[in-house]
Amino acid sequence: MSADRVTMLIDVSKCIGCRACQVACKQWNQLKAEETQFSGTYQNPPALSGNTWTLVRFNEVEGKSPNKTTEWLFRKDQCHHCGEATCEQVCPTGAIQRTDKGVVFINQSICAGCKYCVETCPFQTPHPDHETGTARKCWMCLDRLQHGMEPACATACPTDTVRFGTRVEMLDLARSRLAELKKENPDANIYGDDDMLGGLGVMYVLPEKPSVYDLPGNPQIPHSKIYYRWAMGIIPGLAILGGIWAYLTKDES
Amino acid sequence: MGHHLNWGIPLVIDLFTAAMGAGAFMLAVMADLSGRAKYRTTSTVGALIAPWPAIAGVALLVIDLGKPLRFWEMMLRRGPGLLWLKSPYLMFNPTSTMSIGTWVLTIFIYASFGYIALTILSYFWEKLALLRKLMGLAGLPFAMAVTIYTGVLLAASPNPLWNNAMLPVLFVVSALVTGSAAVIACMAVLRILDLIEPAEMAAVPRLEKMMSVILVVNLLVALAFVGLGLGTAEMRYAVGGGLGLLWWVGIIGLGMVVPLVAGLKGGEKQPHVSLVLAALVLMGGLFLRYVILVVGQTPIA
Amino acid sequence: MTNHWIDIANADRIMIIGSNAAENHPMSFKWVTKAMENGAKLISVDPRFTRTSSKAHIYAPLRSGTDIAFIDGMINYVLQDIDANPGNYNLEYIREYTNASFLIDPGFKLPGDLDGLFSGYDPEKRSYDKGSWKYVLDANGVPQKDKTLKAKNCVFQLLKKHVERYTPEKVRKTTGTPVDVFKSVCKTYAESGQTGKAGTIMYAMGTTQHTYGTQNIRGYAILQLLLANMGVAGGGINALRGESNVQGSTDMCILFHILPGYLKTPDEKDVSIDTYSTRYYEGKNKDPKSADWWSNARKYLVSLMKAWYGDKATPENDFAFANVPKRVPGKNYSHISLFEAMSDGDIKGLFCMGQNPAVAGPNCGRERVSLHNLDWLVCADLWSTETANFWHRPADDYCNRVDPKEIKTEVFMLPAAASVEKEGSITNSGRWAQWRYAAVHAPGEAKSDLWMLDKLCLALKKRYAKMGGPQAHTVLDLTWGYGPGDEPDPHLVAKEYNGYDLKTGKLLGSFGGLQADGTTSSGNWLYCGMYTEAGNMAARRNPIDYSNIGLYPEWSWCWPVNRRIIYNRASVDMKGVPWDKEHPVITFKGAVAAGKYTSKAWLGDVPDGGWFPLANPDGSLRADAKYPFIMKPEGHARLFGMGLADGPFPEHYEPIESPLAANPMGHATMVDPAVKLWHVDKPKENFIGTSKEFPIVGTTYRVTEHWQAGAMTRNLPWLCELMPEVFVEMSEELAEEKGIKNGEKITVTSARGKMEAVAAVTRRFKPFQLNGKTVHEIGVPWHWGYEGKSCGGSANCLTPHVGDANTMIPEYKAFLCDVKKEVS
Repeated sequence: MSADRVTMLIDVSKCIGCRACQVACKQWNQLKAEETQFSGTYQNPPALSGNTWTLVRFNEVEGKSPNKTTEWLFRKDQCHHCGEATCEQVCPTGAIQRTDKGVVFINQSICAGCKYCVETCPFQTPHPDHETGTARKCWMCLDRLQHGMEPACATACPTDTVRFGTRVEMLDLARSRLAELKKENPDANIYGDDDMLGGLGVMYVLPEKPSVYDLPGNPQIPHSKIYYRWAMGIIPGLAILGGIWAYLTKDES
Repeated sequence: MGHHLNWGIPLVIDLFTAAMGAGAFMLAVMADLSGRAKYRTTSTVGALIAPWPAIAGVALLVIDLGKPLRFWEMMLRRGPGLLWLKSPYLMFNPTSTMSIGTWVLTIFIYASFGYIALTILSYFWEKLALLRKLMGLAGLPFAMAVTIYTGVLLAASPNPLWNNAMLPVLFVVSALVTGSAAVIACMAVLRILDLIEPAEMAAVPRLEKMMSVILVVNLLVALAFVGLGLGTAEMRYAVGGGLGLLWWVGIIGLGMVVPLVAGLKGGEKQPHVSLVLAALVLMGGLFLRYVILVVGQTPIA
Repeated sequence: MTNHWIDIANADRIMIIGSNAAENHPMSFKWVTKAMENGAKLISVDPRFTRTSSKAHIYAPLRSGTDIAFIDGMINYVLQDIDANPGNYNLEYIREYTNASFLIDPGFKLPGDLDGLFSGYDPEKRSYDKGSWKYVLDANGVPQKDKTLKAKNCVFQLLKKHVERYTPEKVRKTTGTPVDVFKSVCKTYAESGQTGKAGTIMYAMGTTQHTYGTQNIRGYAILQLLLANMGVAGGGINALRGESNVQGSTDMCILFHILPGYLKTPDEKDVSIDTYSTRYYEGKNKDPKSADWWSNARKYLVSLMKAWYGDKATPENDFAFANVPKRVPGKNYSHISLFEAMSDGDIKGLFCMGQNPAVAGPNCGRERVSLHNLDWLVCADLWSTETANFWHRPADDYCNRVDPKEIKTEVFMLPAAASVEKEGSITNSGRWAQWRYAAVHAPGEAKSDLWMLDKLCLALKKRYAKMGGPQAHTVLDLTWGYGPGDEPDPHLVAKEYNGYDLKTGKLLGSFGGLQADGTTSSGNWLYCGMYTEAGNMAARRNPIDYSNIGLYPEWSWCWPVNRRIIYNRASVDMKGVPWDKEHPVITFKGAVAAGKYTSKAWLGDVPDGGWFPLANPDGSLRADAKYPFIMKPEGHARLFGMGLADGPFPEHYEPIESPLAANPMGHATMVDPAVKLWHVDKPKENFIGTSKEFPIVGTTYRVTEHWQAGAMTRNLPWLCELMPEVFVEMSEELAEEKGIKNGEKITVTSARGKMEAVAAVTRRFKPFQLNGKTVHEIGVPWHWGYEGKSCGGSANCLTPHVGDANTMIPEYKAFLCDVKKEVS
């Protein structure tokens, strides 16, 4: 990975769930607002979509002490710009590319809308947009990056929950924040360090285990098992084919 | 299902028809390679019907794209910086099973037409028989790839129903079985329409027995598929509850057990009976792909 | 705020009570977060676990309307801890800077002795004769003090006696806060009482919108003074204002009871400036060490008259004081009173500028009906609001038939420019006036409020000039002229309220230069210094902080005289040495000779008066010094606050609609004894419910995504996407009782009306275990109305038309209601 790979660090312990990031993303990228309903949670829209590229997820859980009998956890969800990106691997048109700074983006003039990336992303990030016919997701505001600015969400965040910089800077920040959090949160962890999917371009510092935030514990790229799956098809296939040939050849009648 | 499907009915049909066509091709080639005159008709029918379902499948794949007119982006690659120009480079992403599938489907269809041409021509010039067999052999790996790739393609998803290790082998076996059923069904129809002699139906009982054996394998693999996935809510939803009826009665019962028992009993059957049994197998294959694809995309709360 | 936004980062302890700062002031959390990064502890006190609570170290639940019990309980803890561990507190501060040592009239009695009342109550008038609420004066007219704080009638001992009834167990019975959590809060927050540590209280409408809201704040004041948190960095009592320029509005004093700069509005008895000044401001103090700054009020009033009436205000005509409208003594003209008068048919016309009472007013169903009585209504707003469309609104529970043919009101809708479409200043909660420029032109014919008022005044002048009349001169005499262009020049307005030296025609540099002889003018003495000969101070944007506590003295301008932390003379000891050496606000650095200061020099923030410190380095007291709390006649901060209508100490009363049968404090006074009860003789219109029909406590609040009455946000798709519908938050226990599931449609009713909403069943509300009773509480965001892209029921259909005993701010935050599943 290039030394100046960009990385976004989201310190969820500081997030106040205000969703300035969500609106900033919509405004910068001129994304349509969805028609939503209040279904009992502040989270809206309920999921990422072709028109919602970042989403703050709300989760109410039991607290850990008498001084705080409830916890309300907020996590900003969006594309994680994986170092080894499943979407890039499965795209049949070459529309999905990584820039040399590590941003995974879907080229909207090439994407044919096959939705393979939609079906295979371990984080269920890209979604088809019915107006454009293509798959769309966070593109790390590449146009802003090209002008030396930060992504819109990072700029909008009032509490510095969303930080942005080079990978080295963000990893440093993550480690020092982790040390702080570990004092009162033994389960605190960095999610998306270099051992996960080639390092996530959007990492988290989490006070609790990833499962508490509905994050997959050990996401994998499909490549790891593709060969063995082919073998699982070819070997029985050839065997049956051989059996058919033998059966037909050995017919005495 | 109230939930909107990204990959819907058109793809269910494509999965079914492409597999069926490739399966029919593979049976045709095996029948051809056996060298037995008894199986000449089988081979010819198989060859003639092979490409059409696959072409229909490809058409459905293209229509199902978010931007159907961009299907060529999967085959021709834009060179870097030449976004407005179709470069002559071919688009192939070896890590993408869909990219692999695009190419194996394409090559299979061409090979299939080549095989048809040689099948017809070799009726008039026996000398072409060797070339015909070679053509069949050449197309064989692509046909096999067509039947396997969809199972591998779905395995890339985090979805537990698709991630199942039994899926590729299930699809391969199902392809062979539905391909055989298609050939048997066509021969039965031809006989009913009196377009072929009764003698040319001689292969059918043995074909049905063969299909039954493959159905046994299909049944075992299907049960293994279920067993492997029972730990997941998605699998329990697919084979239990309301959908369970479709799975156990439609797919397993009518689609596998009934034709398998009837086929094992052996003996000549009326062409109508053969047709019905073959149709049951085909129906079972279609429903199988429906359940796997559609249920795979239904979020289990 | 006594302090300001950035200063919050200096706090060691932050208590957010009566506020959901993360929700409604998300930018403020930048500073709270910084404080916490430096080790600060955050306490969230709220009936409901909010987005603020999610970041807190301690979350203390409390029933809406019981803040006084909570705070008095904290004060009790602190007073007892001062006895046990005096080294943890700054006793010099308490003794020297507050009125803790002052002796009170022996006739004064506490509620503990008088069944919930203080001495001097007249039940007929529902008010107090404050004769006994005063200091014992010595022969010179200066309050007597007991510096040992032991005398039975000294403020300190009276306070102790008053709050000792608020034990943790009594607090629990009243508020529902578990005892261990309450004690945790007390212990943690009281740690800010240590010298060198600071605690800040951030509050908002949850504190103020009660019938005793002012007393809630008094509780904070007492607590903060005992903890020596006033005037220091990271301390203070910090109101988070609810609109970007409401601080500016209140400073310009467009409320009925104050003139610009918080001068009192005169009533009919104030027949001259002399009467007025001596009645309210002069002669209140005999102690030469008290600056008694309000005694300068005459200068400010006269300068105001000169600003308003120019040459028409002369010494001969008492500076045109007779032109100023006089109130009827004792009469209240605030929002609730206005609508009561409108309901009675006494008000013929109404201007609603950026105001939407049809959604935001208490008992809004009734307020909507009151509008029917108007002859004319002018709405100036960015959107066509519910108020502007009251005449063809959907029928509701309060008024089941709205027929435009029967409503004779002539309604005008004036499109208004948004804040980014006009130039002017905006004063934030921290008193910082920041000049803004127009970023875009207003669309279509939308105009700034300044333009509208300018044209209105010019038109009125024209009419009065033509038609005359007995009061015509009060309008004709007004100086008016804000530039030759169509759009009035806000710079000219700013200069006018800054003020001029009329002899030279030059802008004044500070209110220190204002005179009572008519040689100066100033439209607002507090803002004198904002626009001087050196330029527009509010437009400064120097990002360098010359302090280490985030003062940024050259970024914009704050009142008074750019003093960023007020009462900062309390941040130093009597010798002028900062209590907190690491975060000094001001430091005295005058020259010393023979143990005595010989010259004045203060470093840091603008000192709250540049006088010498109270003592020399050798400990001898200085006669030319001044006490730190310069706005009080006695120069000391008031633990004992005789200025309020309902008591000098906060006492717990129940909201007007209480879920309990009796006051948990065990006395007979159920509600605040000085609250005005409307239509007592017309019980039908009183619409006060009982806990029999309405057993659930209801409260209203806001969400981050919507703003006030919703016109500005319920028309924006991106915000409607986030919060599409009005909802009601309730506990899982209550939902189970009522058979309500999360996301279901429900109806909420109160004695005044009903509304429909979606249920949000959450663990963030829990039932309160009170004095032997389980009481449920629900909350409704009040942003919705019948206009806009996202429409919904208005929570204020439920709230009562009753207000605070001192300010008449409506009791939006605690009332009674009931919920049920909507049967469609």
